[in-house]
Formats: sequence, C-alpha cells, structure tokens
Amino acid sequence: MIIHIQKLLKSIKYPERDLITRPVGQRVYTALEDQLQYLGKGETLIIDFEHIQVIDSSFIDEALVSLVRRSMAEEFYIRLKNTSEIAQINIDSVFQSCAHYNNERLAVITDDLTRFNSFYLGDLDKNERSTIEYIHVNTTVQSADVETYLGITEGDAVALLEELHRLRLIRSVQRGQWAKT
Amino acid sequence: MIVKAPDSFRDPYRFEDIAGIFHAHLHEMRGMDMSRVNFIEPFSMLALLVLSRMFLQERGEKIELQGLQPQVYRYLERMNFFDTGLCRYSTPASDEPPLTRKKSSSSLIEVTDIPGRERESVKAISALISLFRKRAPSILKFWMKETVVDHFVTVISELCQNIFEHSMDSGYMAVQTYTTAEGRVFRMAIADAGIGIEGSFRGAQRVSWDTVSELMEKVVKAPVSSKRPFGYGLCQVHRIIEIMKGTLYLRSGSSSVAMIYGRGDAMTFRKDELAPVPGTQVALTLTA
Repeated sequence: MIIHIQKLLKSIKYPERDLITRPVGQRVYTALEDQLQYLGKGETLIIDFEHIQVIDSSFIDEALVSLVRRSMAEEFYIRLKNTSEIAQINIDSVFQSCAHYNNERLAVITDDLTRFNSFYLGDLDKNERSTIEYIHVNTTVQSADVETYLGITEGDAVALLEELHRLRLIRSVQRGQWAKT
Repeated sequence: MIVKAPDSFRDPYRFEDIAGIFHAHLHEMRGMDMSRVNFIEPFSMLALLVLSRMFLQERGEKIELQGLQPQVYRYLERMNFFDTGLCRYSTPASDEPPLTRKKSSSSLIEVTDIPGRERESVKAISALISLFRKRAPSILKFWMKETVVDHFVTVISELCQNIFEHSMDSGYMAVQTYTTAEGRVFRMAIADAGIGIEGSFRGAQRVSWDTVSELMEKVVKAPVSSKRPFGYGLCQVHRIIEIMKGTLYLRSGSSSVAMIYGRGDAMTFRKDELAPVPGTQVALTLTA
C-alpha cells in the first residue's frame, strides 16, 4: 500500500509542506491509522513524502514512532520514500535517541539512499547495516549467505536476521530465508 | 527615578548589564534613559520585552523608555516592538523617514507573538514558518545552502513549541541579519516570560542537577523532558547548531549556557547567579 502524505494532508485540511508540531503529528497518525485497516498482515506500507520538506521531532514522535511501534506489534513493514535531507536527519536523531536513552531500538527502511549513505534510518550496528545493504542488492538471502558475507557464526547470523525482522527491516520468507520488505 | 542604560543591547552577554539594572532598581525606577544606546540586536530586544512585562506585572505600570536615539527608535518601530504595548516612549525628533517596509523585507522578521495555547500556537508557528521561508533567501543569503532554511524551520518549530508546551506563558520571536565590525551576523531570538527551565523540571524525577546551568546543559545535549520520556526540541536545536557551526545561547532565570561551534574546538560556558529574568530566552547565531 502506498500513502502519499501530501494527499493525506489535503484530506485532513492541512495543506502545508512542513510536518511540524505534536498536534499535527497526532492528526496525521489518526489518518494513517484509518488506512491501516486495509493493510494485510506482512504487507508493506510505503509512505511517500514527496513535496514535504521539514518533518520535526515532535511530529516524528507522535506519528512515525507510533507507526513503527505498531508495525513491530502487528507485523507489517514500512518503507519511507522521498524524504528530504532534514527529515532524514530528524528521523535518525529521534530513533537514535530512543535507542540510547530509552533502550528502545527503532529503525525504518528507505527507498532512496539517505544522506547517511544507507537505506535505513535509525540505530543499527555495523553488521546489521552491512546486512541491510546486502539484502537491498540481493533481494533474498539465506542465513548462510550472511554467515559467509560477514564472517560470523551461523547462530550469530540467524540472531542478527531475526533482530532485523523484529525491527521490521526485513521480511521472513520461510525458515532460514529472508527478503527485502 | 530614571536609570541611565549603558550601550549594552549589542549582544546577549552584554545584556546582563540591563538585567542587572532591572534587578537592582525594579521597585524604584520609573524608566530608562536610552540616550547612550546606539544599537539593539534581536535577543536584547526580546529580553527587554520580557523585562518590560515583568515591570508591568510587578509595578502595575508600563516602563518608560526615554531619550531613544532616532536610529534605535526607527529600528524598534520597524520591528513592531512598540506594538506589544509594554512600554511608554516618546518619538525622537528626526528628519529621517521611518525605515521602509517592503512586502518582502530584506533581512528580518519582526517581533512575532507565539501564543501560549496549543491551537493558536500551532497556527502562529505555521504562519511564522511560511513568512520565514519567503524571507529566508534574503535573511540567510550569506549562509545559503540547500538545507540551511530547512534547518532553521526545524529550529523555529522546536523552540516555539517549547513555549506553549513548557513555559506556561506566551512568547516572542524575532530574526535579523546585520553587519558589525567583525562581519555579518544572523541572529534568531525566541523568548518567553514563563516558568523557566528549572520551573519546568521541578518535580521531574528522572533528571537531577546541582546547578541550573548544569540542568540547562543537560536538556540541550540529551533528549530529556519534564513532561514525557523524551524531549527532543532543544537537543535537536543543539544538533542543528552544531552542524551549522553556529552559537547557541540559552538563558533561563538566573543561569545561562552558551555553546560555541564557530571556530576551532567546540566550547561550552555555563553561568549561574546572574540577575534573574523570568522565563527562557534563546539566541541562535551564525556569523560570516
């Protein structure tokens, strides 16, 4: 499912190109929640931020953090598209803060290469980052591929892939096989 | 009693002289003689408004600003300072015309009210950001990169939200780019006369501090909040100022913290036991 944020903003009569403040974040999250009823289990929700410039941390906390938490609880996937540089900085910063100050790991996949030269925003370690890149290129992987690629044990490779799946950054296809969202 | 004000409206540090005058003479002064003041920058202008509000609340009358030099009067008039209605003043005799008000002003945003209530505040912030986007090409022309305007939109949003979320008061914002002997200066100032950072965190169990300036440094450098598990606002502003190699000056109550990223190593200066000023005032500065 693709949600064009600009269209969604028109539907809630907020015709701005900056997504700022908590009240606006709450309104947008409510509007997004209405759409989630049409999203099947395991489906990917693509949120397209075309024409949106700034997304501030209050908005991110109210809308995006809530949505990512929900995807982890209900098993659907999120990909962000057309995020501006400042939006990437702010999203990454909020997710990093959640990890470092609240022990809550949050991350989200992006369609486009971000300013951090990655296809995700959030708090991942080096091996997780490499795995995301590997899966981005190869689309589907076995745990053995990751084991060889990173030079880690099979157990560590499986644990790493399961953690990325828990974060809803990769899809679990079948036993021992994972794929892009 | 009229107190003679020194020419200390040139930067946030020198403004301490003015805060000291209000603290020392609040109950006997009637006004200030501004004849020695040659220049006023945005932070000092908004801090003067905050002190004028305090004066009005404490004394039940407006402070009188006497002897304003023509160029200072014209600047304050251009910035809509007098529209706040917090001061009495007399118009200086001058042959010079008022400063022009182009539809698209070249280098400033006038004193703008940020209401203390959420609904009105969200509208005001949106309008302010629209205005800033329109004027940014002129205001930030010496710092113009693709992302600078978006960075400052984030800053405006985060700091103005703090006013209605934490200060329990309304506030003001103003922006000006100007030239000094040292070079060009972009300064954005945001001020309120609310409960201040210490007041906002009083009773918050997750955060402890020895001095208020230490608390202020904490809230700037880590995403702590008095209301929620997190408060990203000031922390995000700090990160942006760090990226842009600017200066962040934060004053609240009797304390201040300044973080300077402009040249060489980053520096942080904390001060306590300053003359008390109600609420919180912030100055963001870029130089070129």
